[in-house]
Amino acid sequence: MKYRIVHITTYHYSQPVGLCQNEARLQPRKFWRQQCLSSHYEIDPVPADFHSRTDFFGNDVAYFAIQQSHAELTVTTTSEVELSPEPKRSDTAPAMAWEQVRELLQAQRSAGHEENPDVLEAKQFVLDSP
Amino acid sequence: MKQNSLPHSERYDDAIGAQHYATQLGTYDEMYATQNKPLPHWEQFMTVLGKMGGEELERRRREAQRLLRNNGVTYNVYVESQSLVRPWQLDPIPLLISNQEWTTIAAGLEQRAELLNLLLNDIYGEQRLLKKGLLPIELIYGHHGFLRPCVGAFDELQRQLTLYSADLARGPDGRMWVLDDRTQAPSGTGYALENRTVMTRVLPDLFHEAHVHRLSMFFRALRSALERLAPHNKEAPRIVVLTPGALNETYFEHAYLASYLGYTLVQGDDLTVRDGRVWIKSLQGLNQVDVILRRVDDFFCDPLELRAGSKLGVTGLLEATRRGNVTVANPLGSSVLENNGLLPFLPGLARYFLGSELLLPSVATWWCGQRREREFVVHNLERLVIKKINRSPGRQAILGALLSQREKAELRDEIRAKPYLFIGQEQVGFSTVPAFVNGHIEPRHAILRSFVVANQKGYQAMPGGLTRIAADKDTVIVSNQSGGLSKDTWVMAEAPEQEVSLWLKPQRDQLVEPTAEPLPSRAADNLYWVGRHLERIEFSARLLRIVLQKLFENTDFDDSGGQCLHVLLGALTQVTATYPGFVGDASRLLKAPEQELLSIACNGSRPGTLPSSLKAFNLSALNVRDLWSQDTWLCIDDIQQRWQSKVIAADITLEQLQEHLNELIAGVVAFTGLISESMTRESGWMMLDSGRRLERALLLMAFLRSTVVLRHDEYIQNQILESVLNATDSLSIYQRRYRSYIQLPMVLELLLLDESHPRSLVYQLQQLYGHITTLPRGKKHKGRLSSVERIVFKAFTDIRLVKPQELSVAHEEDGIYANLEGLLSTNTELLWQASDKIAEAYFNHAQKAQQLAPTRQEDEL
Repeated sequence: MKYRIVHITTYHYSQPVGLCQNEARLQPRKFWRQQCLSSHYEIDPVPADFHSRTDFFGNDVAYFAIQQSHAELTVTTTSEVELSPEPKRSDTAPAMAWEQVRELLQAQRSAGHEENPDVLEAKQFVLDSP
Repeated sequence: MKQNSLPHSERYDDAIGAQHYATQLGTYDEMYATQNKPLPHWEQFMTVLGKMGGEELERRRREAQRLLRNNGVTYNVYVESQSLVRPWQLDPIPLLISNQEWTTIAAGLEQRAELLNLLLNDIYGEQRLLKKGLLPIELIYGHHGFLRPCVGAFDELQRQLTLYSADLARGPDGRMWVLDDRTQAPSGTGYALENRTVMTRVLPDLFHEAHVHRLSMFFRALRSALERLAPHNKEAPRIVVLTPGALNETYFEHAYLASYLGYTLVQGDDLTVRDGRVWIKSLQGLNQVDVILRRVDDFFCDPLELRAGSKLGVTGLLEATRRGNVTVANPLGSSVLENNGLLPFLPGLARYFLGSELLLPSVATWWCGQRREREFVVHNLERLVIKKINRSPGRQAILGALLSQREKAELRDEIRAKPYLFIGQEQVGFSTVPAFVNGHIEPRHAILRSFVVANQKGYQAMPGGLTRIAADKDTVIVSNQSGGLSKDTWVMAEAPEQEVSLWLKPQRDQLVEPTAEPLPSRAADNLYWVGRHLERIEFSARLLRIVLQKLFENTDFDDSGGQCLHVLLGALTQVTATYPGFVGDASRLLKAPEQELLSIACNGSRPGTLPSSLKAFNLSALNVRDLWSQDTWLCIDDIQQRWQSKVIAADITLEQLQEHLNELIAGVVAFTGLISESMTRESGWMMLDSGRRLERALLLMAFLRSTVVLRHDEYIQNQILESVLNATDSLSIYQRRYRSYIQLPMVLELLLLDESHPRSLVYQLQQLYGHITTLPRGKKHKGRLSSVERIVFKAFTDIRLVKPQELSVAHEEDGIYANLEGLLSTNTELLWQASDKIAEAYFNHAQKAQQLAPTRQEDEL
């Protein structure tokens, strides 16, 4: 299924603002079920400074700064995504029991032993959120 | 105690020789080691000290204290919500370390710095250690210092650990241990330097005989290291010191280092990020910053990407760093290394990265994130100190031996629930070192904070450091917050070391261009207010003095003298704005003004009083501490200190007050003279003087409006006029000009219109206008007057165009000199507007940053 998503955020300020700096995470990301076919920003007023990057978790982040006086800010993201059909229950049967997962995450690896990257990535989510 | 009759040589045995020093059993002592006589490098020192005698040493110690106080060396200690500013205390006996021993320690420190640098690079770079399982992920990712936005954000140069410090202690077997690594914004170098400066003045002979290694090379290296970090503009990079502000515990050091190294001291508010670069908001406009030596904790540095709502940081700083437009020293995210849990892994990491053994051992530490270590800690609580891997201000180390059974059980549960957050550490005894306390020498437990800086080949350690000793003989824990003394640290060289100056040698024929140092808007703001508060203090003091004179002249309140006094009392309230005071329905107060007068002199919690103005003056001056010369700061501190100790704390009477007012005025005049002679006539001085001129003009007008604007009988009028001239320091000038004729028109001529009289209104306006037109103005005003100039010009011109005889025309009905009142009130209004416009034009404080995301309620510092 293809979707077209338009996301509009508007700010009205009670007084004109001279400098506004933002971090925006408004773009759909890619994962096993979802493909992001296109995505772009439209910002009014046009930012003097705009820079995209990928953050630590793989999300698209846009930094932008508006450096002129303005009383309203509108950020519009238009994206097209394609979703694969929802899998049937049986297809998503887990490869291993949750007790095994727990063991895997708590296992003590000896130093110098290369860690499985998936396990490594999963381990950090066991910790408290920053 | 001492007997004058004994010859000097017989008194040297005065209980400060090594023979009277009682070491503690089972503790390593710095002077004795574990032997029965002092180590060679201590022996000579102690002999000379013994010959000096206890009294002489005490005298030197007091001299050291005085020097430190004068230099304004302070350390803020937080007590609940108030902060106490404590003078820094220095013990005159330094910690002595032999050259041989130091070589070993320095090698260990430098190796450790290398190792931590490589570790930092990997954690925020390729993360090989985590992928290979050499470091557990929970230890790094579970630590508050691990900042995800910083991963992959910096290039190699930006990721470098520039300044590093380690707390060292010596165990009972004589080996040095590392207790703590500090990698964020290690403090103490300024205090160490200050201690050294004072010691060379207080014990000069001993210092020179001991051939102590100098500290200047370290600071030279620091300066070079910072310059190398500049991403652009490498020949003359702009480097700033970012401070949380005057209320921070080590603010003195920030200002001191900024001054010493020649960098601008800024707060978060002074910087802005535009076009992905960092700029100082200065009077001259925006000046790009290349390197930031930060004294603000990681997490508070960028309210956009890091801790939301932080007022100490700069929005967009991380983005600017990411783009390579600025370098922050030490890099953001370096607090991840301030993690006790890393200690047990360091030996392994040393082998991995450096291929060698770790030279300086750390205190034996067990990280509870691993099963075996966890079980060990949990079953050995009595022997261990339990800490969390995250340093938090509230939670201290827990001594397992002091816990009850129930507390132990609770702690075990806590550890088992989140094991990766805990470590267990062996309890380490610190060595003792001779300290001069209460007139004699005794052993005190000590910690040495050492410092290491990056250089072109690697790292170099400061030959010396900051030694801190416990507050009393039995205290084992040494920390700045709980009180304590510090010592200088002397590493004894083999031969005298050549003095290295911090000045750089230019190439032959190179004429170094002076760089215009930008004045941050906030600094300009503070200087302006220093000027304004200064004038308030002087004017109030002079007026109060006159009032007291009149008070003591009169015993009968109904005669003309009494009437005059009433007018002056009312004026005093109006000028100081200490309402209601003597104004309005205050006939009772007028009859017995003593209480109110004392209140104006002593009550710091009422706005407008002298102590209130003194406090405001001091705080504004403190905020720009780095801009004052030594002498000037001394003067500033003195003004407030004197008043505090001699007037407020001493609970004096009105009779005694006059004397102190004289002193206060003299102090203010001294300060005025100092800045007049030592400040360059640039933006900073102009701002300060503008503040003074504006305030003096306003106060003069307020004074005149509450005294001479009203018509009085001639006899009373004369007394009032005389008092007015006296209070404005204009009496003798008047007498020379007009001899014995005292009349309103002539007084007004002198005080309002005389352009040669420095106390006249027109003189203030003229000066103010001169400054405003010289101060940098925005681009849009080219060729036209700015709004500030326009208003001041109008005020100035209005006064100059006045005809003095018109001013003395009075209306029959209301008994006031209407034209005079009209002129003064209009002019006052104009100056208030001017003040607003100045703030708008130069201080930018109307633009306070606001966060649109929800913020958390937590302490900032």
